[in-house]
Amino acid sequence: MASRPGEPPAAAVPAKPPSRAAAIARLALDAACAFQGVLGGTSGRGARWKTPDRDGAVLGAIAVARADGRFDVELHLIARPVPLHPLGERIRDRIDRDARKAGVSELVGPIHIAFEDIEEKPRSSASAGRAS
Amino acid sequence: MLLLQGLARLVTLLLLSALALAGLALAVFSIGSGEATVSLPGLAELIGLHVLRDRVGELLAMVEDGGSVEAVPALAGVGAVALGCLLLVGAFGSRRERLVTLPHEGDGALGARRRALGHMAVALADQARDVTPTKVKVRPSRRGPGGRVEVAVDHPKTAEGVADRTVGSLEPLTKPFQLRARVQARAASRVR
Repeated sequence: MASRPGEPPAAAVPAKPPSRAAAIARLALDAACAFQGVLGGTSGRGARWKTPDRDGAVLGAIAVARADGRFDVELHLIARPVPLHPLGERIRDRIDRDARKAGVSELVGPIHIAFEDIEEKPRSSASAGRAS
Repeated sequence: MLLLQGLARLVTLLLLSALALAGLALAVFSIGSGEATVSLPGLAELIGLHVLRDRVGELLAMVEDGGSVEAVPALAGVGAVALGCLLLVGAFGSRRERLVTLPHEGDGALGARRRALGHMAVALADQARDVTPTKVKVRPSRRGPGGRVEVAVDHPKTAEGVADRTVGSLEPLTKPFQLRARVQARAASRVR
């Protein structure tokens, strides 16, 4: 779309930053996907598990604001056939660590992790992916 | 449950659509008055309400007559009650598939869906000697962590201790998730 006279060109307009919920959801999903045992997140049937963002949605991660100012984080993951208990604990630790690094550790509340499926290879389906 | 939920949604959509159309028709036909074509008596004439009234009257009279039980109205009544019950289950039944949760200290929960655990159970049971898993069912506990995993396996006629071997091979899954393993072994002439 052409810009009007007097307005800066579209390319020069800075993109809106993601919402805080989307930023937390993306941080958590990225932390989980950093592990070899995780193939990605899944938004599930009917794309239920996602956090809306200004430029789309974070699939497979839900961040919901709590009354105390923190965010409940829920991850829905597809994993490789690996021991799930230690993987889940390592994902939690990694999310805590990454949140501290990003300076948002006080925003991350309880972390819920659900392994939705086990697969050897990534799905080709659009509902599965790291994030969109 | 999925089928019932779909049926409940479909019936809801159809009923709401019918209600909206009926409301629209009533609104349009309320414009006129008296015996005009576009009036409420005109609408009743158009959809044949008088015919319906006569038929329902006949049916009720037949039912009230007494004597032997009228099979068709009785079956229709039972069917309507059953359909209503099914729709209630579909509308108010749990929409979330339960997770098998892991014991965990601190905030948050850690769990896995039944399907994921089923895949793991098949992979683990397959590693046991002389065992071919054919069917796996994972049932989460209704209260807290744990649950049950039922595995049906085929084995050669000559094989012994198949159930114990299968239970042993499932331990990497059953121990952390606190699942009780139950193996149903069947001797097959040839392992698939």
